[in-house]
Amino acid sequence: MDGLRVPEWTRRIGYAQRNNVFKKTAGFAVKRIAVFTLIAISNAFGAFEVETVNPNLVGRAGICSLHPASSNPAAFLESGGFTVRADYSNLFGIKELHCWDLISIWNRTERMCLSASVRSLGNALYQENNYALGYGRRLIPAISAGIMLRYYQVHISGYDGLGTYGISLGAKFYVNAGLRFSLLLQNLNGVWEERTADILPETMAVGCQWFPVKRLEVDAELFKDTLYPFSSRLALAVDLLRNLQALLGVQLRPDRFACGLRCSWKHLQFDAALLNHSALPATLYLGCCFQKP
Amino acid sequence: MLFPKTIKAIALSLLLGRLAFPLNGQMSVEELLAEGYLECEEESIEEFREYLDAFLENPVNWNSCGADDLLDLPLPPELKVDLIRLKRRNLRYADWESFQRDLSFTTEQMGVIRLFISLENRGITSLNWVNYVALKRNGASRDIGRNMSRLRMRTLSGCYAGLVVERDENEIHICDYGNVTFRSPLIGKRLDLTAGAYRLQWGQGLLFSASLMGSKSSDALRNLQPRRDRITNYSGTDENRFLFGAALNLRVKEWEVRPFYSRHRLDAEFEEDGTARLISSGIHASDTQLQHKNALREQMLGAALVKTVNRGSFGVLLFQAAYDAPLTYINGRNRYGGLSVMHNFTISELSLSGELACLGGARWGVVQSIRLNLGNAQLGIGGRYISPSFFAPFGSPLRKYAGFPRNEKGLYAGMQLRLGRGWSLSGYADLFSRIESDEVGEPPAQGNEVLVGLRKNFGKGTQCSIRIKRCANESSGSAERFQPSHALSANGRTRLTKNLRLNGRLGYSWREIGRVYSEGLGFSGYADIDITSQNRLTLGCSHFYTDTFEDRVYIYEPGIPLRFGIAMFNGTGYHFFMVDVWRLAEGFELALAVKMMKSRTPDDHFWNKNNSLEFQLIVDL
Repeated sequence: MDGLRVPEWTRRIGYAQRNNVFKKTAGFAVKRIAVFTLIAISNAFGAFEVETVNPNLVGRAGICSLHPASSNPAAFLESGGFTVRADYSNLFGIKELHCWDLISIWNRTERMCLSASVRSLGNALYQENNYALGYGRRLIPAISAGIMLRYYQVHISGYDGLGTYGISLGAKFYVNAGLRFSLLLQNLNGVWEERTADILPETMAVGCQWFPVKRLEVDAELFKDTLYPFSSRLALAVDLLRNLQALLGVQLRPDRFACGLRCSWKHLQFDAALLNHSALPATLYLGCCFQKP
Repeated sequence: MLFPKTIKAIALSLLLGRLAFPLNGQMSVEELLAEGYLECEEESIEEFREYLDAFLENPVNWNSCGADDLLDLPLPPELKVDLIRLKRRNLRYADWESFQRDLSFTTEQMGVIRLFISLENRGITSLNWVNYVALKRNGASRDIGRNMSRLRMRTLSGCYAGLVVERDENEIHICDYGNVTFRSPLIGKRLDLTAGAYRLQWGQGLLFSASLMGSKSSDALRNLQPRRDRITNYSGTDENRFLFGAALNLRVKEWEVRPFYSRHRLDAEFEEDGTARLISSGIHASDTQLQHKNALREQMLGAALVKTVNRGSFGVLLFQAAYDAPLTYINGRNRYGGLSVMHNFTISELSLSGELACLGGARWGVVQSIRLNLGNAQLGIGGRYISPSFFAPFGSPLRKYAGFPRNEKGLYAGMQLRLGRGWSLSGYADLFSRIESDEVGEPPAQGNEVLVGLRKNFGKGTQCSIRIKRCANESSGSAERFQPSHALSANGRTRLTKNLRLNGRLGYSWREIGRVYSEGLGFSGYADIDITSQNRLTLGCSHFYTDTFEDRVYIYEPGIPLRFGIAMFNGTGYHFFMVDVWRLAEGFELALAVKMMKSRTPDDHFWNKNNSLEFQLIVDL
């Protein structure tokens, strides 16, 4: 099993099987998922670990702890004002894997923000949804911290739904004007739960954001899912024009390359990113954002 | 879950309640000390504690010590360079304020220095009582992990007394191990007496070494440095490797005579042929281990003679040891004797030290080193030869091959450079080889070890360092000859505010055997928060992933003060830790550590969860 990564779906289906979700004879949908899962396993790297569909983050190799509208509620304070964004992707061109994400962030004051998000993956036969509420606060000028409560739900056509919750904590540290660090711990509640079986992936991400010159941003992140090896991510964001930003990112273990563009016009922002997976077809991610300062 | 409500309540109250207080960041003493020693591949945390205890119990007197005594201290090299520079000016101090003013050390650095150096000639009256208790839960089992109580007392006249009581994890008896030690004040300015438990430091440690710590530190020059010759009181928790009896230290002009006698029982297991094999683990949990406890009596009688001259010292030591059963390691005999000659000279910038020890017949060893101190650059080279069957239970010279037979020859070269602007570079190369092969027809095993470390101090509490170690350690008869393993460790810390410091540590090891590449990576991030000037809270977590057990990673984690939490990570998982240290009043310090670990190896079907709760109360009057 060395190096073999079981997709996120498999783990959740494994959970469903252990909990007698599949009481009935497996139907067509389940068979399709099972076959699909096996194919995915043979590809060795997790195909469906959807961490984000936000092109602004995908273009940065999926860095998830440093930017607004990522998974780190502490970073949401950077967005300012009121933000609504919607993102969509058809993962790897597979018609069953439509994924969309809707998030709104409200910076109530400069020191406090609230967020709500909905994410959906799958189709009418199999669907994973999650709903999240986040709270971020600037403790002192150099530190922001945040907490996010996320409810995960799995629907399989013809079966009862399953659900569980996860608590995430994040922090962002502002060392100086050009250097920032971040820490994100997702689904932290696994620490104190009695269960020794694997329910939700518990992850850690440590990020570094550096602005060496005015128009350039360099990001790095070390990401760890408890079951898998570390992933390292490196990204560049360059302001090509006043309203146009180019993104470039690389992730190791599993190896992925990504690029993206961000175009802003008044209060609107349009994003697109392309992710190149080592085995599966490339995926296009699209998103738009409205931001009122 | 173990103490679920208690842990949650404590954690929440500390986390939430304390954040309301103003924050003050400070550097931890343990971290400064651990830099050079922990995160070594083969390090034992217990040995490291013992090693430090030897210095803590016997601080060096600034006003009467030499520069070499300072070099011996377990302080970071950059601190030692400044201390030695000051010492060479022959300045004497009566108070710490003027000492700090002359050297411009920070308060944190002074905190570390004061642990190991004293200014008073005759000591001060003090009482130090450490009480440590760990509660652990491993899976379904719950137990008191370890408890230890230690009392140390010094009087104005220089008299010292120590007492230690300890129980290891899973041991049946609540006071499984206990020890006492005593040192008299100077009698007639010439004589002092040590009674109870003690250790003898001699030369390069071929026969007697205070710490018995086998591994090398990343302090390249210190690995060549001989230990200071002396008799040290012992109130450590190594249950076997000490002497118990009485020792005298008599000074007559430039001569020092140190006769010593020891008699106590040791742990041992007996072979079918009746010979005894010494056991040094000190664990007495199972029936078999209890049978081995105190199974063998050891008696030792000896004397050392040291002559101090202008530029150094030289001396000779003789001893005879006897056991009430034959020992496996000394060819089935029940007594052995030894002779050692040592020297330690400093001529201008050059220091020479060495030891020649003989245990009779062809069993002998020699260590010789030369060090050049040019201020910002220090260089050293040393050679060693330890003949087959050389075995000294209290010996721990620089050596790579552990186990028996301990024959080895080696050549070691190290350097330390201060490059300016906060940069420093250090490194060593050690080439070693067995003298005889374990297998007939096989060449003796050999290997090499290289370490390079680079450190940058940006000032204002921000610094980073990186160390890479490559080790090619060949085993006789192994199909995997000369397959090198690599270990990288990187540390960084920055002071975010006056009250808060962020730390990150990364350990990475990798190997390539044949076409199989395997690696292990661990990352630890934590924040030190000074809630008040009397209360420091540390919060952090570590994550790790290793392909195999051989790729395990070692990462220093903050813990209970002076207990040095180094974590060995294998498999995949994470570790959360929280340490809170309160100075309740002058001389009273309470520390609490909560740790939660979840891990899994490829062979495990489920996650293993280990929780622990540790308390330590220090009364220092």
